Amino acid sequence: MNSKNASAAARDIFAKAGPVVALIIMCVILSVANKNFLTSANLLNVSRQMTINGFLSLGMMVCILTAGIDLSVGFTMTLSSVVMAICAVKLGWNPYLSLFIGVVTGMFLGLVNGLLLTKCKLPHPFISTMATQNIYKGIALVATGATPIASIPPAIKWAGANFVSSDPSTFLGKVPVCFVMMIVAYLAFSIFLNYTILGRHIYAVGGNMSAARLSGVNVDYVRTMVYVISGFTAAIGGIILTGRTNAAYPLSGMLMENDAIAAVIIGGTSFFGGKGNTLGTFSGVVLITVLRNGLNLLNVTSDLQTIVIGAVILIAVFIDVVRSGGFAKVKRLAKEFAKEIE
Amino acid sequence: MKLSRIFSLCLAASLLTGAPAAAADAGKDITVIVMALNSDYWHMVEAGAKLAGQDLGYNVNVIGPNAETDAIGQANMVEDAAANKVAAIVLAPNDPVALIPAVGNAKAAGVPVVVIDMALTTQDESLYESFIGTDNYEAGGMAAGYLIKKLPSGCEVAIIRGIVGSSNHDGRCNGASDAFKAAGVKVVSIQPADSERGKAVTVAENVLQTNPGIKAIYCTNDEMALGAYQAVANIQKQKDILVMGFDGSFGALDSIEAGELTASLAQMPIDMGYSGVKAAVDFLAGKKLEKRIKSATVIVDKANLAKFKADIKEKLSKAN
Amino acid sequence: MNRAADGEADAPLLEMRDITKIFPGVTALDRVNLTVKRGEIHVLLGENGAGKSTLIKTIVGINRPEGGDIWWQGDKIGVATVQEAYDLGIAVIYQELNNIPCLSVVENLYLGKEKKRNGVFIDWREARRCARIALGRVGLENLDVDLPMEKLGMGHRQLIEIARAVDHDAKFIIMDEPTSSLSRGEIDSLLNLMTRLNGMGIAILFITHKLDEARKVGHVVTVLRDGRNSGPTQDISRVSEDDIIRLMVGRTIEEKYPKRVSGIGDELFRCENLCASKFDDISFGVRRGELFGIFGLVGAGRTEVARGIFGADPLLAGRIFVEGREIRVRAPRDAIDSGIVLITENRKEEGLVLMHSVVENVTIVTLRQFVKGPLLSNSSRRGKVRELGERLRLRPLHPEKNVADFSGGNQQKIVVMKWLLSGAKVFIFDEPTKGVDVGAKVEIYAIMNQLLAEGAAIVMISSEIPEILGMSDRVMTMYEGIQSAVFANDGTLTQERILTMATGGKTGE
Repeated sequence: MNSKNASAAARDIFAKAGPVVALIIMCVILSVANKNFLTSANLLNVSRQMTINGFLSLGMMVCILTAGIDLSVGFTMTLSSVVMAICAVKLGWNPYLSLFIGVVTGMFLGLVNGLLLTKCKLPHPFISTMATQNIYKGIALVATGATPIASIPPAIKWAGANFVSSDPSTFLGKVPVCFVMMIVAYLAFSIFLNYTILGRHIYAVGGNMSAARLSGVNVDYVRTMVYVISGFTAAIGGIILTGRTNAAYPLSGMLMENDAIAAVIIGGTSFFGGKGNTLGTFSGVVLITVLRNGLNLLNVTSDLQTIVIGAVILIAVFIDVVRSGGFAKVKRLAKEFAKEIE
Repeated sequence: MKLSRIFSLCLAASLLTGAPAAAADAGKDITVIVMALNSDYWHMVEAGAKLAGQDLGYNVNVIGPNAETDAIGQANMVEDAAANKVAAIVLAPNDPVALIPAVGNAKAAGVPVVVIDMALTTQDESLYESFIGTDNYEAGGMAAGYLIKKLPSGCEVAIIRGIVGSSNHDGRCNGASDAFKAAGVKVVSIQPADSERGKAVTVAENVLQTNPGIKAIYCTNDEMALGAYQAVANIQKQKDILVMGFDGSFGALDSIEAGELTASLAQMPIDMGYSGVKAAVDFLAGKKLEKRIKSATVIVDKANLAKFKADIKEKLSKAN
Repeated sequence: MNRAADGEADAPLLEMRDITKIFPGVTALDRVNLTVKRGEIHVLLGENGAGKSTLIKTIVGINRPEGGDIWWQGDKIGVATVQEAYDLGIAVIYQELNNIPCLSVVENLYLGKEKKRNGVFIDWREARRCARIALGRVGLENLDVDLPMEKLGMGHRQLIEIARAVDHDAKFIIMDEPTSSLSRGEIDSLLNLMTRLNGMGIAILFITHKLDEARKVGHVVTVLRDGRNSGPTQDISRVSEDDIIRLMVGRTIEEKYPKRVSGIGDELFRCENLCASKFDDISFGVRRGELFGIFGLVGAGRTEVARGIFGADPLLAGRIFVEGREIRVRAPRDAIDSGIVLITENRKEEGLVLMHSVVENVTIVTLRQFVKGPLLSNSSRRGKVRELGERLRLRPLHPEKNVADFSGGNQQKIVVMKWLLSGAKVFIFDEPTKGVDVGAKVEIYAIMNQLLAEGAAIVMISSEIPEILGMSDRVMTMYEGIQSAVFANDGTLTQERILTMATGGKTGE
């Protein structure tokens, strides 16, 4: 009985730390395969490259925790960055005001998604956010005349383009601002999800919506708020993107939702809601970024990269199935399979 | 634990497929980053670049994102190549603005960049060593000139163009439309079809519906020309309407050979890839580069098709 | 009662030996034996939670037993799927029917076994012809086979499932409480049909807890109690009703329903003229320390009344009072804030988030209590839950464990803990002991008594008359959405009177 408990505990730890373990293994392989992987220049690249998806994935995770999904994250990001750039560049408004408007835009677009779901009673967020994805994309194209808006003021670019310290010889001079923002955001979301009422309600709604409703949880409010949160994180992603490319361009959000969903799922969040945490999503985000970076360093073409990422998603979801023991048969098969491997 | 082992096995397997390329001497590595490795055009650029690598003794890697819209993915590739300490980067930027910071980062890391195909929209010419590309406005004019000679004066033509905001397509489109106007040919419609064959069919159908009298359709790439031809053939007007493309892709060449498309303004992607790498090597050798190098173009129709194809075939066979 | 009396009638058709099934925290079946012979109607008796349903699931492969063997017609088998069992000739008619409402009768009959023409197309003409024959065997020769299933009543739907089984050459039909949602007339014709099917050589395992029905058609009886065989399989005509009850319950009614000593106080809750789509003009009051039972058959509108009071479904009219003050209930939150709570019938679907911990489930209503500064204090949540768990004797007392790992009785305790924490005064229990074993039942009754002793008022909805009689101070019966009678449970109230009123009879009868 005792050893059974111990192995169950070990399985539990693996379940929680699974993505982290996979990440470490991958880093080891990469640093052996390419000597430039573990250089500060490359780690700097990785830390910067993960931030946009990092923010989109945070919002996506919150939606998926309620058994929802936000397919519009990519173009919510695009549209809020476009609105921000129009205010700052074309209208010449104060850059800080423009930043604020960009964030509010993102939250508004998220609110639209949420209200479509809860007030218009659209059957599934897959439908409503797929529709708004197209609408937001179209608006972004129309608003920009399909041309990128360049010459972004430094105050807006700061988040995406600058380092914490302006002195490149110091350590802080090598740390991108956006990476620090992302770490802070993940810590904040971890606290938000675990130690606030709304945070716990998000898990309850995803875990069992009717039980939550009958427990007096305002389910509609929770389900609306998660899309507002997703819009908020997408807008932050948009600010970083604008800084990184010195431009707001209308197709920047193309397929961005794919990597966000992938990161969340790889991070162990259940697609059926109620289970998942920020550490997992963080590992998922890092894993995808490191994977792409490593494959770039090894000059693997993007076609192959796509296959690898697809495979990683499959493996991650398979682990999720086994872990949740959704149906005993899969579990049994996996056990037999694992035995054969050993 | 068992699962993590399976996980790592899969990763290792996939990573190893790319591992041999990484073993080469870093000082002799040149990375060519194209808009996307998803069309014949970019595969020909790839072939030209590899050919130059062979000729000049450099190890050339050609990569690119999955779609031409993925500017962030391409920016990441530029930064990763710089971190990989390659000797030089040859870049065909898929966004004229969004790639500028990444090119700046490469420059800051001490890696020279040669831009090919699409110009960066920047005043700061010190960012890159040289830009090699078709003068799209001039080439558009050339294409129009070819059609004008075959058309009666005062007739109507239509233009189907790539996505609005792409400087390449702007040039190709404006150059042609200005030339048509100067020659007294009426451009009755300019419609975007986003460089896609399928969209071009729909767009061309609509154009033909509203302007049944047009005598020619000029498209700013070959994919759209093939789509437009499909629409023309669907209403049995292939004898009356000329369809011309831009790029000189294999598909277009086959179509010209079959007597479908009238002509294509061929860029020389193999030459462009070759000269991109050659420029980078020249720069590394300390030679002074011109900031703007025009790449060659040629109009391919049934008359010179055979020679053009043989030329490509020879170069491609050398590259592989 | 004609048994199919040929030479093979005594040969065992299905034999289950020493079947053991363990769920996390519960041994559902403990070395259970069951032998069904060809041509007999075998009655399987047992209270809710005795293991009857688990045993059936083991026969058809939904459950995998941890121990024991199953023999079918003399061969040892290990059925893995329902389909395999079906192919062997074993069919189950479940309490909750398994047909697809939007499809027609004929489509439901041949779903998965469509009559084909040229290997691809459905041969509708042939299917209709066969359907009429199959329906004729269960006495439905005049039914329109193209009617969608949803247009039919429960009785007909059930007969169609039986027809499907017969048509697929079932040798053995298991009926899991088939009469529980039928009217009197439907029950009689079903019992007749069972005898007729038996005459056609089909063995039947008849699961019920209604002794009169069992005696009417059954040949032999096996009783399960707490997951074990309770006595041997016996000829049903040789055992008395008292013996069977003793075998089923294992204790007297007095032990089963613990006595309350608390007194009844002033009126705590009252509702007047409640109306909604499924019920009409419901009025009753409940006093402190009083347990008010509501009895009705499935579909009588009992659960709907509870949901209406709680704000889970909208009310069309009516007034609700708590401690004499009128309250407005638009959503569950309003009811909860006024101290009215609903403990739903299906805890797993509506009461609990199974994948989350006890702490999470118990405190979800009352998170506001635990906010320290800007954030929640998890240690005070854990502490409070542990305290409540001790009070209700939650086993195991692990606040961090996931609710899915607890037994049915303990899950019920977790739901009660949640509402205790919210300061509830009026508890509406909807089928509180459904699917829990006998031991846990007694514990749940004890919890209710404890709540009553602490001054709460309880409304208990139940479809088990013994439970209603054993626990209630007053009983209301419902029939087709109408409140048909209210009785004081003063010792003179009988099962018959309750049942009569719940099936549309008149008090005078």
